[in-house]
Amino acid sequence: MPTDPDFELIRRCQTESGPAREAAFAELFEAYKDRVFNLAGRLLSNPADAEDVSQEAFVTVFRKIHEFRFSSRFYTWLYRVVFNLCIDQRRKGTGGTPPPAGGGDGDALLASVKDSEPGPVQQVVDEDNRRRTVERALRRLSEPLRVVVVLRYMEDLAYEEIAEVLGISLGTVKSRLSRAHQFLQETFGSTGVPGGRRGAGRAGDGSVGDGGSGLDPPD
Amino acid sequence: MTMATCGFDPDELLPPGAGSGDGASPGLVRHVTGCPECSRSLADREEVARELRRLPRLQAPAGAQSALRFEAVMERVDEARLDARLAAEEPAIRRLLRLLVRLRAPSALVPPVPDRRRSAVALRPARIVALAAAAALVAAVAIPSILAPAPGRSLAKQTAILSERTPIPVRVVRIDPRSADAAELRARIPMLPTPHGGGS
Repeated sequence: MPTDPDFELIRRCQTESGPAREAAFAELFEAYKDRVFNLAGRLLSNPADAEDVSQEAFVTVFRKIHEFRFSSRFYTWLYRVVFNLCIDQRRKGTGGTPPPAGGGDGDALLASVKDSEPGPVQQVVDEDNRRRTVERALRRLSEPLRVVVVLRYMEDLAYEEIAEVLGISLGTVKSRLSRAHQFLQETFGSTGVPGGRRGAGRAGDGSVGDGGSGLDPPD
Repeated sequence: MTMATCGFDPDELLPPGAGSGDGASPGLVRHVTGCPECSRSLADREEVARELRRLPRLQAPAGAQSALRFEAVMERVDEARLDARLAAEEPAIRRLLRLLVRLRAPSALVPPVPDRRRSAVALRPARIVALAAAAALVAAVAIPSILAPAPGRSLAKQTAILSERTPIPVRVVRIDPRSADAAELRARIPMLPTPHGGGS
């Protein structure tokens, strides 16, 4: 059984009642609300939908926390709930379409990003431009690739954990990550962001992914 | 994914995780050490991974309207709590809305001219009181000025009226400063300054 600092809080949520239970859940909420919103925001590209999905995720977790069996990390379970809700949201026909590069609701989400460290003006401008380039490239990835990238590089999940969250095999996780890398390298290459593959020619087309198959819902 | 010329599976050519415990496998390390193409490719991917890790997290919205407040989540969990809060807040909200509507459309809600019934019943006493008050005010201002004696035209008479009919004595002293000496001046005008600089 993996050791998880959240397990004690979850036990309290399962065994306590009333204010004590709420207090334990409040700690989990505060610890994960930004991560949950980040994941939902990166997948849905719409702040209002991301907010609703994030709230719904915590409501679901609170109601089902007695079902948690301590066989995995809490956050993989939480991310799985968020991911499933994002799929549901996408099926409803809102929130799942990536906005066009350089505009749309995605920029509203980017506006909520905290500013980088202050410094000389040019350095800040360059840093901001680079960040926007990376953000746009990320938004142009199809959801199946994007979610793997977000879980891997922003949430620091292991391949096995990503596979568990998404309900896919380890090989599929690596394959998607590899394709995402290829696209991002090509995109960065045409914009001068370090790590890009200079001279590659695919960066200007639409979103890249696994042939439009969309998200693979977990079991 | 394009296969490298060396035949190594590109899906295995992934940078190790930052904090996830996924280190590079011994096979990957061994291959990359001897294959410049894969070494270069891995370096590019590591750079991409670094760029992605530098992206800041999206911040959950804060504020009273945010759905990502703990209270908002708990109200979704326990709808009775939400119902109770809504019921408690409803009267105040209704008052505010009524006020808002009045502010936006006063003529639509408050008749500018009362109807005849309201005028006859409610406004007649108010009008009578207002008229009486106005008449009393006019009388209070007018009566004293009618009864008071007209002031005389000369300055002495007006001064006498102001000083309760006692004239103010005024003595005019004419002095030629070129002819009079200082001692005489001081004797006749006591407030002149002394030679030491002080006044008397």
